[in-house]
Amino acid sequence: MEDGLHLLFHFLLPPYLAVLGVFLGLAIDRNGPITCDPKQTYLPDWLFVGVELAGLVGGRLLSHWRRRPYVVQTERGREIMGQLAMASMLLILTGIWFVEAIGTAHISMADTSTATFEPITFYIRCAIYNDRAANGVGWWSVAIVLSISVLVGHWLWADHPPRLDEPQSPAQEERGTR
Amino acid sequence: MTNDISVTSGTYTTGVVYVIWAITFALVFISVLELICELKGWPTISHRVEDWSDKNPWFSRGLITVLFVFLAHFFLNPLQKP
Repeated sequence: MEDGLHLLFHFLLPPYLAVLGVFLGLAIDRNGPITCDPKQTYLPDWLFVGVELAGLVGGRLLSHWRRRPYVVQTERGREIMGQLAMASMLLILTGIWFVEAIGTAHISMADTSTATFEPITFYIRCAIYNDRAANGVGWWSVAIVLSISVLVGHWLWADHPPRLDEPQSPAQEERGTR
Repeated sequence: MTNDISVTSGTYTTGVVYVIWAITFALVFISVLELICELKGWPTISHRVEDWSDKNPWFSRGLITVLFVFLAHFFLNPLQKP
């Protein structure tokens, strides 16, 4: 039952993410605000730091719900998928930093005209501004920061219960938590 | 020195749409890889990352710190050009 629900989640996640992303992009492209109001002082805001920390702890707690998964050790599959994931991640990060660098190079404090190319950082801050202007708290921003933090806590600070046949590590025995 | 015009984004709509679609593509790609791994019985991406962080707790804590500083720089700075 637990494994079935987990597999169903994996099946539903890609189309859900794709539909959500395309919908949001089209909605902003057609009806969204064209800029943000610089007279407001929505940022900096420490609320998001609290959301980050809550998400980190929440992601760790989430890992308590499932034992370490059983995996079939097929070396070829492991290697190909691992290399593909790593290469893709580095390629995407390179692209992001390249765009950020170009955007940063195109703006200037002395420039009084509206920019024609800007770094990604501005778009994200501007999106937070528009979000807060629309609903006060910035619920979309809070949800996104929370989601990223939960993922970080779940992946990088996981604390799964061991499999039934899995011996405890010395650190786990020392803590006596498993 | 900044003024109202210079802190107003001129390419917001197009830029943020590209950001959303780039993030969507990355997330869909990762989730498809996860699904393939689950179906094949291979260790998933998340399992690999969890394994790595379990074996390298200090690197993992360091990476968490870097990621959170990166996130925080978005919302602990005012909206203005540097």
